[in-house]
Amino acid sequence: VRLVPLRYPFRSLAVRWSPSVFSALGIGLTVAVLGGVLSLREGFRSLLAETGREDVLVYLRPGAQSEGESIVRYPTDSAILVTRPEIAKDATGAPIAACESYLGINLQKTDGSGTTIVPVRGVEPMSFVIQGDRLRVVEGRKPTFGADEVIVGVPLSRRIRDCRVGDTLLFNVTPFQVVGLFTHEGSYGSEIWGDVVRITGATQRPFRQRLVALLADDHDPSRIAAIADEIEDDARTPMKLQSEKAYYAAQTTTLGDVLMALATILTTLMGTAAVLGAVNTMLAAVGARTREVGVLVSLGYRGFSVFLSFLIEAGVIGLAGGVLGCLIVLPLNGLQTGTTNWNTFTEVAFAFRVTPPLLAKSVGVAVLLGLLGGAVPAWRASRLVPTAALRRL
Amino acid sequence: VTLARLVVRNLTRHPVRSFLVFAFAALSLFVFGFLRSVVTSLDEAVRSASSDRLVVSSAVGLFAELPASYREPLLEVDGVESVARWSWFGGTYRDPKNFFPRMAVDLDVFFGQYPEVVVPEAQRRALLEERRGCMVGTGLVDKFGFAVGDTVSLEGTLYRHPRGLPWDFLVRAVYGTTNPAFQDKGLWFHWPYLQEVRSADPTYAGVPATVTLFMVKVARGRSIAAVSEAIEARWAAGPVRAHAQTEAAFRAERVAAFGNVPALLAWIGGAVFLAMLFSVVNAMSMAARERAKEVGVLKALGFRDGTAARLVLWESILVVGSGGLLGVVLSWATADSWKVVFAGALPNYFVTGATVALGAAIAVAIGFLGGVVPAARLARLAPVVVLREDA
Repeated sequence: VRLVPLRYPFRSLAVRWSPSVFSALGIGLTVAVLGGVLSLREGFRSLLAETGREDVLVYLRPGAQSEGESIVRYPTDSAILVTRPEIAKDATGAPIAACESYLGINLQKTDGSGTTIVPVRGVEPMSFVIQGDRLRVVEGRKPTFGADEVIVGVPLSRRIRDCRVGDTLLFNVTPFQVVGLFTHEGSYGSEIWGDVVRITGATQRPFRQRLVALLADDHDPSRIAAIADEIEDDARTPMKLQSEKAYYAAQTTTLGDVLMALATILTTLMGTAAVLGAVNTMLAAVGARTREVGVLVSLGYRGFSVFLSFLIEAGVIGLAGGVLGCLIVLPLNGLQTGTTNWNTFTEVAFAFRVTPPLLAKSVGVAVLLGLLGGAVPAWRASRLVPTAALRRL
Repeated sequence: VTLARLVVRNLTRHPVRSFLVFAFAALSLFVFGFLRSVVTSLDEAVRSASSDRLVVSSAVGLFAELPASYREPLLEVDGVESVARWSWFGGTYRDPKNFFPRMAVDLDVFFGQYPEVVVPEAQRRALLEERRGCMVGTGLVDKFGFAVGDTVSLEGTLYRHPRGLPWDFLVRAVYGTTNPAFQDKGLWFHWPYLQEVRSADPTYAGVPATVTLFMVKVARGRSIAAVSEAIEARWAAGPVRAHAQTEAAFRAERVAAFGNVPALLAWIGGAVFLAMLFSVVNAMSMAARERAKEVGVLKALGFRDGTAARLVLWESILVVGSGGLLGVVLSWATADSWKVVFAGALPNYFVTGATVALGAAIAVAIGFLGGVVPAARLARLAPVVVLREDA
């Protein structure tokens, strides 16, 4: 089969540039919306994914979907749990485990738009050992255990009032002094940390929310599921055990699902609209070039070649739209935003993330939209009978 | 008359293109109706909140809980008519994805505070008499097929039933609501039953009972501000500080938790309209180009410049306007199906008349904007030039 030279579709695009540009713009906007919503989802997902490690164990009350719903009695449950064999021990033989509290506390936003719910974690000294280098105090110092002191995640210090070193935060009726700022790539980075004893005391909370521990060296992370089954049925302290990674991965579901549904609905609707626009453009292109097609066919090009040529033209429009859409989305990368983690009803700060696979996906959708729009008109062009086409003025 | 006939003839000359533009407009306005309704539904929940109900919760945080023992002192506060205990139950119905609010409340007080909740009298009495009874909204009936007499089993998350058994509630009533902002997808049961089970759980041995919030009804004619001030002052020094706010303010805080979502939706809506405008300009330019010759003929026959141009403009407005109207009306007609899709996230989703009207107006405006540029070009065409061209 002799193919129509590639120059033909490209030249045609240039000749009829205004409808081509408008179609590309339509596809570009559709792809920009898709990319924008997906980058929001990607940012939220990666925040929680980076929080979790496979060799850190999280013990919650059975049935609890998040820390907010969990109860761990201290020391009734925790004293038994820390003796478990899968928990690592330090040089002195003490288990590397911490029984932490977790509570969303109302605090004022700096922009004056009212209060928001900020996650406050009551921690034990071992909490810092478990997080290791991933948690870095970048200003001030760590809180002193036994004192009413807290450290604040850096993104929070910008969004929440009274969160700079030296400021005082009121939890219930007890003032806590901010003594440091810290960073953590994961979602701990938008929390406030302080001594669990002081915090549960100040907020009148009878329970703690989770036990977190380091996995012993002689245990393989792949065995956590088996250990979890065993603990779930324990008579004295039934617990739900997950790796920290699995726990945070599950936390993305609610918001992740909503954003994915939004992206799907919008892309389907807007994509259909964009295809309609492309069909319109390509139909007009075929209509205006009826005579040219007649010439091509008389020259011996087969229907299939003509079909392919017009399809390429449509694909190029889609590609241009895709690139345009990506250009619109790219500046979003790194843009900070805040939303609620619906699993714990607390505020999380995170950034849009535009990743290469996301861009590739967007361009792919754009080309597909172009091809879908071009298919019927191209097929029409390929069916033109040369004599009839040439006869038409 | 001739003009109108020409417009209609032109519409049917390229039926495929007219249909495509029409469909495009319908789709875009459908998306608009959907996006705007998400935002207005959120606002509506705030606006339609009752003005005589106060939400008293812990000043510490939403899930920090207040001691249940605050009820008696609350009742003594001057201006307070009634107080209901509310505890967020959480729980899982079959799958964590089946999210809907489950709340333990003092149902007898609740009915007095919420006249917008409608329950047949016989069911109301049966519910109040059954210790393990619950009432479900019509929305849940539609979704899960619950009926009076059924048993609904929930797995406890916050509150565990002894020995890890599921909580079995007996459906005694189905409620409807006269206020769309009060969601019809809730399960409500007796607060004393929750407390009964909780106090039998060894975990809670020695731990005083708590509530998520107290719903307080302020007596007619009493100042809401004065009552909330008195309540907050009562526990200013602890043990747990209380925060009293109107139901509207409470809901506004929940809406604020959506963060930048409304702004995000507005941006998307803008992109949709821009894409729609491009498409209309494109289609109408094509139509205008094809008709250059005819317009030349019309002008040569003595029609004025404006008349010929108006043909294209009217065609654009007609197609885009009617398509847009269809789209926004469709989004209104399908609102109930969207409600099912949103499930827990947006239980009060509905499309207002204002949204439909605004959508139709925008469609006409885009039809005008899209048609005006090609029309202006046609108006400027010199008949001799067009007629001389042979293509």
